[in-house]
Amino acid sequence: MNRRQGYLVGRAEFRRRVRAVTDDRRQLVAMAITGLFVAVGMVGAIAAAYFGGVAVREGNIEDPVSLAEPLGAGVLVFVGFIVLVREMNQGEPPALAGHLTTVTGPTLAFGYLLVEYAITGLFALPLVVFGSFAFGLGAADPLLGLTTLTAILGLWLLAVPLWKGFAYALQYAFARVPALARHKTAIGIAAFVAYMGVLTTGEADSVLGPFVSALAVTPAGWFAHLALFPVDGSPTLAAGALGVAAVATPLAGAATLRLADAVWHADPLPADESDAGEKTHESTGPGIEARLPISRPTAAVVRRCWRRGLRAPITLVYVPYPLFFMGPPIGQSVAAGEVVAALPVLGALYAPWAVGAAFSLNPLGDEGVVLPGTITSGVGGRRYVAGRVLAGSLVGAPLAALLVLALGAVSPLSLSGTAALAALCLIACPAAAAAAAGFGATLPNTDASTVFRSREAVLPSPWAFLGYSLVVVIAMAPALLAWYPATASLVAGDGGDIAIQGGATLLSAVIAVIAGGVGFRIAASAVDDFEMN
Amino acid sequence: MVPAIETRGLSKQYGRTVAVDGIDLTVDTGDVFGFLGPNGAGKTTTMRMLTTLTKPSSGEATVAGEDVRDRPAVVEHIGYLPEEPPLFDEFTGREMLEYYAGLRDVSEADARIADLLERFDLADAADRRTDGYSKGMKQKTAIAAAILHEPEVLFLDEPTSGLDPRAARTVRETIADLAAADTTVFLSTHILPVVEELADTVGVLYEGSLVAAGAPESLAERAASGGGTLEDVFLEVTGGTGER
Repeated sequence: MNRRQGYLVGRAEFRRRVRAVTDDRRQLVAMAITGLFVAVGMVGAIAAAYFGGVAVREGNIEDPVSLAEPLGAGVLVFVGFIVLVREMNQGEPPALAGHLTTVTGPTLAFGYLLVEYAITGLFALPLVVFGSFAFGLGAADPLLGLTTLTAILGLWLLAVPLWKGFAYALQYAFARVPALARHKTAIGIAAFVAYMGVLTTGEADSVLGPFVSALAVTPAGWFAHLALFPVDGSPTLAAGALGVAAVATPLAGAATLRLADAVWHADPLPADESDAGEKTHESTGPGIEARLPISRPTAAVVRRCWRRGLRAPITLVYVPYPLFFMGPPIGQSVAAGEVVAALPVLGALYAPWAVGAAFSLNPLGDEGVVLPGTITSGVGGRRYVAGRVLAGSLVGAPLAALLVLALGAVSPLSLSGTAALAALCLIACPAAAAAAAGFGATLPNTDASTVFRSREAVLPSPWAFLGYSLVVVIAMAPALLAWYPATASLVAGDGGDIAIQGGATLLSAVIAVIAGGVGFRIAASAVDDFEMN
Repeated sequence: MVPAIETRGLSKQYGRTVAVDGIDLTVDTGDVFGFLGPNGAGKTTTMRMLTTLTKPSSGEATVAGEDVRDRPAVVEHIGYLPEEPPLFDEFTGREMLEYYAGLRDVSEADARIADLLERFDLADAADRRTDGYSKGMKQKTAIAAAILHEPEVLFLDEPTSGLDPRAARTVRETIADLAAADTTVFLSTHILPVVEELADTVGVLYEGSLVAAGAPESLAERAASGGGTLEDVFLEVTGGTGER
């Protein structure tokens, strides 16, 4: 390993990543908004550290070390989570072949390790330094601030290579272990669903809690003794923490460099689900055009959407995003052990949204390099958009209705409410898909974004996403307000006047159909008139 | 007889930038027209106008007798191979051809697809995903998609670029076969020997204007160096030198 080359690699890579953000106005705005929230959170955390110090000084905390042990482990887990997610998302380094024929793998990995320190440090160090200072200030003990700072820095220095190495080990396993390589797409989807589930239900504490508690009784917990050494930390364990940081950090670093080298030089095993060289012809049987009154070009578009959706599910990565808003009722249902009445009502909002968004929200951009072929095929806007709408609705509308029926059946929502919302889904799904096509064809996005591990996908434009979401919410609002437990009595009286609720559902259906009709016309003419400039 | 392609004062402007400046050209049915020009000369813009992918700012153009502003009418008669093969990575070669056959409602598509896969030596790879194809295989699949419906006029943008000699030869032979069967081929390429071999007429585009047009031999004779090659002509009319 050549340190000078490693520094050069690290500096260049850091500059590249900074420019990747600063050159993209959307990312810059997103960063700025995130930064504001982070800044507010940091101020809060620093204030908490100060008052924590005050509590220690005044003896309000009975056993501060016992309290701090899980916190130390939490720092290790938190930094690890950030590093792990970042590493798993980044995929192969850019210009890998060029780098590996210029410097050794460990040298390259050293450069990347420095970048990881720089980036995590950029965000974490101000909080750590000011937080430790505030803690010492609150405790009126500068030494306490210093030992806290030392302990957290020690954990950070250790956590970065430890978890980066773990991420490389995972990558190596998925590249070389046949069972993992074969099912990596399915495992990835399951992990993503689990990740989303934890985030939307707010169950992160109960998932990570046992892990943090377990870590607290390992040497990770010793860092609490180092931090609180001036108060009542054990001198032996405090020295042990310093020893762990001094010994384990270079060891973890060395292992990380080796593992990175192994990953970059590994010959990945083929994955059955997505093997580029694998024969994947399937018998399609009689075409759907034989079973449905649709033209052959429309059927071709439907089949194309289904095939791509199944083989490249990453192109639909944006579809679960609104599930974040379903978090409270899902969390309530999990906590109560039964489905709350709000869940089928919100399901009747999300399901049509998802069905509409899946294949219609970027009908032109999603074609990618095939767009010139599609445009010059003579398929025409109406048949093309109809194919997109049907691709989502043929499968999605019945599923959406079934989902609402199933959730409604096991929730306190009335039978009439369940039936009305399920029926509404059958109308709202194709209408939403047509409305989505209108927004997507008018505001197309043809630029690919990196979605996961260097995998690029052309996602809908944010404006189409926003506009479409607003229209779906507006269209579904009357029905949702009439059936949603918190608003039903305001709209339909205390007992729930069925005529009002039915009327509201009908009104939603009418708005959805109008929006869908308008969207369809706009989309069809946008496809017909599309120009590649 | 109606020319396969005819343009009169065909122009395209993007803001103040003139990408194509008043092109007049005529390509007869069954001819192979070699369209040459340095990078940025306006070749792709011209092809996009002729294939209806972009509307002309001014001037007239017809393809197979149809106004290029009338997309549904024109696209019935044409096939188009863009510079980047229009294939979905996730589809097999056969599925890609089935997709295009479906969009164009090609009759007896299965037999036609099987024939093209055989002709382009792709039958063995037909049921493999295209992201595992070599560049040549992708290009051949894309050409098969462009001629699937037996178009009257075929637009090819750099069809032999990056191909190995065997694949390039297959493509050249296909173009010759198509021309022999009265298909008009509008061929944009940087590879001058391909144009010399195949083209009946040649047009050289430079800074948006057609600066030379005619049969390759007559153009070569007109070169200042006298009795030169198409390369001499190209360099001369595009601001380079014909002398070697």
